[in-house]
Amino acid sequence: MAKISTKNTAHAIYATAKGKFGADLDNALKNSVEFLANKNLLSKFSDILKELGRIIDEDEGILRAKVSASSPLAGEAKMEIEKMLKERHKAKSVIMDFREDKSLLGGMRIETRDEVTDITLRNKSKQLQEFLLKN
Amino acid sequence: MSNSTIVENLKNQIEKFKADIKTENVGVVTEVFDGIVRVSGLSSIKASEMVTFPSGVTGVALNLEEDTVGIIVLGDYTKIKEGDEVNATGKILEIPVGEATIGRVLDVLGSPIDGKGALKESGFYPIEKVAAGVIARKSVDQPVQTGIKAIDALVPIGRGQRELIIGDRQTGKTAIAIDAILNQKGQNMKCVYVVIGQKDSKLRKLEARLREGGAMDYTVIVSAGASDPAAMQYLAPYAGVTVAEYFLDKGEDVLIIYDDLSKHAVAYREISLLLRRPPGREAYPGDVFYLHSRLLERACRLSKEFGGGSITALPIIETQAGDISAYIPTNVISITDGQIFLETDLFYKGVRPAINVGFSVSRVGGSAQIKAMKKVSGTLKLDLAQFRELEAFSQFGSDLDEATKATIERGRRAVELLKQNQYAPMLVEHQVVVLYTLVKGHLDTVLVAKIKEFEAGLIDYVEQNAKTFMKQVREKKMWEDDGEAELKQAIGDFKKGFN
Repeated sequence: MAKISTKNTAHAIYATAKGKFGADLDNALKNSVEFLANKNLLSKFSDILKELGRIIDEDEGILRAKVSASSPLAGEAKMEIEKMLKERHKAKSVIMDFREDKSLLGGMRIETRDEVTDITLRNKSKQLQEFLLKN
Repeated sequence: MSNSTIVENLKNQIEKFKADIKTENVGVVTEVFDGIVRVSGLSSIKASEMVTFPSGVTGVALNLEEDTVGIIVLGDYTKIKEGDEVNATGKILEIPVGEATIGRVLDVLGSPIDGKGALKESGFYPIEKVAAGVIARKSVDQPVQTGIKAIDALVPIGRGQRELIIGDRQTGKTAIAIDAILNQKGQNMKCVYVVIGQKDSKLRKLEARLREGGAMDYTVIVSAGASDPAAMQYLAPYAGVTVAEYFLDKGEDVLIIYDDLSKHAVAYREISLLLRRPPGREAYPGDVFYLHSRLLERACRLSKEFGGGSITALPIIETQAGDISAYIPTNVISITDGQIFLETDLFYKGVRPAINVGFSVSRVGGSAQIKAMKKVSGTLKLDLAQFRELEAFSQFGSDLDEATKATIERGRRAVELLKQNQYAPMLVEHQVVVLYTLVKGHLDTVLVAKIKEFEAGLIDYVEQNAKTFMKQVREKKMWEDDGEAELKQAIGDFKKGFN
């Protein structure tokens, strides 16, 4: 029998619970947990939950982004990034997590899902080093 | 170089530099074991795409699964940690190619390992490529002269052919390959020697031998030694043929040697088992046939409209105790256009090269032999087959009729004549002379023990006294009546003086 992947399970739970409220939702979730217990999948609960979060985000057009910069970003810059990300990923809303990292030297690094846009000075100097070694 | 020049150069280089801003596909290492890395993320990676690890090591994505990607590491995997970021490069695995590769020893990624400085490549070629199609191909019609009498006469190899060299350990497989390369001097042929899973000392010896013989002027060595990871050994033959394809595209002829494909199959088995692909016969994965067929199919002869180049492949397979019916040997025998079978028994009997003429065949090379060689070697194979059969019989009794005796005597002389020292390839016109002498019966009165001496003397004598014959064979690839008469005369004269 084919293995049930975490992704499959999360999709199934989401499909049963979607659009339900109150007692219906409780019932659907109870059934889901029972199913997980029967299939010995409770140990993978945290992975399933993570996947579920990703599916919900995707379905509702929410994009989570991690933005790291060497110094705090101005409000204008933040708006600009949000606009750019919305356009690029066709997202309805963007939830951004701003972090400060001195080791980046300058510029910023934007991480969304499994994509990274790195325009930090640290990355540029690394590229320059590779370029000089090669030529 | 003064300080100011260095600074100036550096400034110039920095001015040329342009940092590119691009969004990269990344993943995170979740598992590392035995040269395999499992990565989550990398959602848009392609099969065989190159990835880079923070330590600078390159990897290749082989298994694209639902949640993870299985990556083989081409280098030191001990520095990769769980949680490391893996960057997709967007490029299918490619290596540098060009004229500059000639005379160099490269690793699988095309980086020189001979300590002779960086390689100035002309471009990059992907290492996995679909072989030339039917329209682009042409049938084999030109010979590859290996310089080995037994091969050029009995199992001839044509340009674009795939001829397997198969035999136990220590039977002279590599020696044949080296001789074939040494003999390509001045024959408009580039050579690529792919070393797979061999000892580094062997590589060193090989390179020294080729350099000594002046063969490194037209040869590239691609090496993945025994101490390199299985991933490198798996990719080595593909890297080798990629280097060769550069010359093919330029319309040149290339001879490529894979030494050896048994170790290649073993390396692939190791990777497949680690990637948890289901094992089949002898624990090899299901696609082990395709592994070799797609590689050897890249050997080809292209038609004139497509450049007219060729890649001739000489894969080597090492058998265990002469068992050619094992899985990998049978696979490769069925893929190639013939095989040269080497035997331990013959080797220790002193028949070197230890080619078993009965089991060795060339399915297409015959049409590529020069006319003169075809003429002299025509009956040789049959004579030898008859000799082997009668020799077995003759051991039971001494009363043999004259015809049988003559066949046996001729056979003994043929076997003796086909013996050849290592690193002593012979020109095709010389081969024609000695084989002509044999098949026309001129050797029947020469003692078997003196055949070698006779052969050496005859070649020198004929070079001086049968110039017309030699010229005809060299230029027109066939003798004419006057040339033949001159050769007969020269042989007769030489025999009179030989004692």
